[in-house]
Amino acid sequence: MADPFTDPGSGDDRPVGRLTPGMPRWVKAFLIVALVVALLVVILLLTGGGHGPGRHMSSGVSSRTWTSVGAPSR
Amino acid sequence: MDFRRGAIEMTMSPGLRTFALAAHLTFSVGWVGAVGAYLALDATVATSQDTQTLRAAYIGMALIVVNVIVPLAFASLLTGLIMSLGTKWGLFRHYWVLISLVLTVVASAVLLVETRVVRSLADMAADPATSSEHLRAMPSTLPHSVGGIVVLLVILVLNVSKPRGMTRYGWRKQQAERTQRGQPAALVP
Repeated sequence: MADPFTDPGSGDDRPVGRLTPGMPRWVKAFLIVALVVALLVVILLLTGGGHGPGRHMSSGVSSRTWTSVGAPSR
Repeated sequence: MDFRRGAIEMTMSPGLRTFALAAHLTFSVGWVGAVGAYLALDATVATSQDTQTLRAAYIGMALIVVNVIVPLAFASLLTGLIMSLGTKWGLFRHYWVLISLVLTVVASAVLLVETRVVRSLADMAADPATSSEHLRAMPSTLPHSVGGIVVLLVILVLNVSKPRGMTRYGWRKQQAERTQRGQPAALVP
């Protein structure tokens, strides 16, 4: 059966192309870097003793409204 | 529909597209600038020992986050969605668009979580009962603000350079559009 990806008239058996694109190299590199960063963050979270809004504070919820320039309102 | 270019254009008129692009650029670059301003205050909190400076910096951080950064972040995300869906780029056809979307969503989610932290720190700093020792012991949010601005700069570079690369979904859509126009399916060299 003739190879659908070669040019039958050229006498050249090298494929002229494929039907779907592969992932570009820059995307693969980006995903590797993102994975390494994610792993580092997970390691820091596991060894750093906690994460999330409560880590800095003795009480949880803000009682002021920081929605205006000027003195905060309760 | 414009068939003269390489892909079928989506629904936005040129004028609307220009307006949407200008809005998206304004909000996105504004977001980067606002985080830069926040970073200056965050660095001050990390390095200063002066009580008045610390109180002012924490309060300033909360005001910037609540009034500027959060609205800009969501405006940037919304206008980015509009630009993607209203032009030939689409939301899932090109890797640079897809990665920009994912990074923007992640950055916005982390921002919302950190906003609670910043507001609580500002509360403590604004409270006259908070002692100087306690103020000096309060942390900065530098890891998040530095990480955030790095992510925003990556998104900016992707949006300016628009590196080549279609997803499988984008490729299938393009092939379907070519078929509709009576053109042969394209092969990837």
